[in-house]
Amino acid sequence: MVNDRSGDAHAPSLSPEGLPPDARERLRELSGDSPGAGLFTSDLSVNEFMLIRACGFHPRGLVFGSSIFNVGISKRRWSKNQEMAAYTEAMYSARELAMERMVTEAELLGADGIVGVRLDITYYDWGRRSAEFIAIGTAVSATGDGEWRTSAGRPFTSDLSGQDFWTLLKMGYAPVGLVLGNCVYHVAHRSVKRTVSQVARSVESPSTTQALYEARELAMTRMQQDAVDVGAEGIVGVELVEKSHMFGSHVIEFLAVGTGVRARPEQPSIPEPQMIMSLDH
Amino acid sequence: MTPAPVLGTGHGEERGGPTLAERIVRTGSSTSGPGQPHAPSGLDGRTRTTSTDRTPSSALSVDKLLLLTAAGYAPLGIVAGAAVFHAGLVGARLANAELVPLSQALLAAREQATARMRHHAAQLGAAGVVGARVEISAFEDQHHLARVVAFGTAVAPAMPADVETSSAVPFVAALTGRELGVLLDSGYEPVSLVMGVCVYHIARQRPRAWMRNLTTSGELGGYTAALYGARELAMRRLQDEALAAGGEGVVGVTTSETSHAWGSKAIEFFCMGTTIRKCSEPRLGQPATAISLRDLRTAADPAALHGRAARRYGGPLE
Repeated sequence: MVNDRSGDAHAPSLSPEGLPPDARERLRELSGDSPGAGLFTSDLSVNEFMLIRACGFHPRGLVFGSSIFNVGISKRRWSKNQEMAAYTEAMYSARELAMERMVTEAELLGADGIVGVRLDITYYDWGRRSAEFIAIGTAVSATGDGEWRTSAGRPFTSDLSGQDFWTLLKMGYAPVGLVLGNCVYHVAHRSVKRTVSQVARSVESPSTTQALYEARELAMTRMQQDAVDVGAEGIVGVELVEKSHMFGSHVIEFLAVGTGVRARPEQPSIPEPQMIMSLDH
Repeated sequence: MTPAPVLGTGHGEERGGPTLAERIVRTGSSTSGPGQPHAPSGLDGRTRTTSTDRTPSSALSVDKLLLLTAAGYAPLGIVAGAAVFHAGLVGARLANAELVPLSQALLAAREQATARMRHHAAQLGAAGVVGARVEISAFEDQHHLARVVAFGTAVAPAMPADVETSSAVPFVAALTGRELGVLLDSGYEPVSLVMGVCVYHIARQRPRAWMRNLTTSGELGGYTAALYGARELAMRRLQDEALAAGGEGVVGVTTSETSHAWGSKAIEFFCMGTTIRKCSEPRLGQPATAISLRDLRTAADPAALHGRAARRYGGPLE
């Protein structure tokens, strides 16, 4: 039974790797007596389930991580392009916390990795300045030999679908970790004089261009650094998302997410693809 | 002779829309009390007629019908079940806590609707129900009353000897006909839908905490523990159901959080998936790599090009 009596939002109820009691209980039921003997749960579609089994893995359980983060009001200059470092830090830490807890759950299951990781953000009506950061994925274990965990001995994470995971493995690569970089940036307001002078003209606004360009580059650079840190040789499936979240206008978060990959020692021959006409709708 | 059309439901398929749901509710909600109600007579009559004809339909798309047939199954028609329940009121509380009666009511209503749908399928002599969906909605003028409708396409083996089933009760699966085919070929069979519910009450922040949070950033430990725990609890209940159903695994788990008519005070965490178990040796070969000749830009769904990012990392803030 979950029951938190303190209405105090800052009550230190969870350590970074702390899980609610129900999580431990749930995972204990899943792991069964021997690995692979118990029930598994997954958000995989049937095709993904089949493909993951076809490349020598089996699903272990759906794993979650969550962190509700409060973002306080931070100073900004009306007419200045600047990174909002406190916001960047908050948005990054919240995602890291959620992912850390998800990986801890996977470790409790004894899994080798997590596939199909989704990072969701949910806003609730009761807190205008807070949001829940959620990481969800399916923990998988390898049936055969081979080292699939990261160099730190932890399960790998990846946002690849079952189809992408299969293709990646067939090409002789393995996922290392979900890598991300972000940047929350305040885009300067234009001065009244400039707004008036440009009202009937179509021209580039160099300072705005500069701001968005720089913010995007910062997010990408941080993602690359993240990849280097986890020992990846490359990043696949990078997505660049820009959103204002709860910050209001002129403050934008740029988020770059991708899966860091490394080459496996054994390099298989890549099969020649066939051309097909899909009957899908 | 022109056979009456068999209706089909499948994911991503244009259905009859509200008219169908309305019809099902109107006929289904009149049944109340414990036990299995009789299937609505109009619906029953229609599907009965067509089940003897075994005529392919137009409402199941061509590929879905093809693959369902390839899996050894033929559609019998739509089956449905409904339940209407009273959601009660949520009073103000000071603590974060689960609202146990609401959790139980929301689960019971869904289970009952699904059981009625399964019963309806059994009456038709179906081996199972594919493309099952469970939808919950409030009546327009009575927000405390909610209706749950479960519907799907009943299927039966085209040649009874073709498909080995180890259960007399029809299975229920939130899978398309195509997915059913792949599942059977990889040596598994669907068993039933499994669900988990946890309705959680969210306490307000205390004024002092609210003031402090105005200018500082950080994790809200109490809230995280509460909502994270609620999610885990819902998932744990799904697992318990799956174990009780004798499944070996659950695929296609979807999770959702909804506040229904309660406002921001309470949130329902709901998860649902399809239990599967081993039934035979896998017949499926190794998949081959292929390049699809389909042009994504001509697809009706623009999300195929632009939507992945939006879908994965949270929708627009509204």
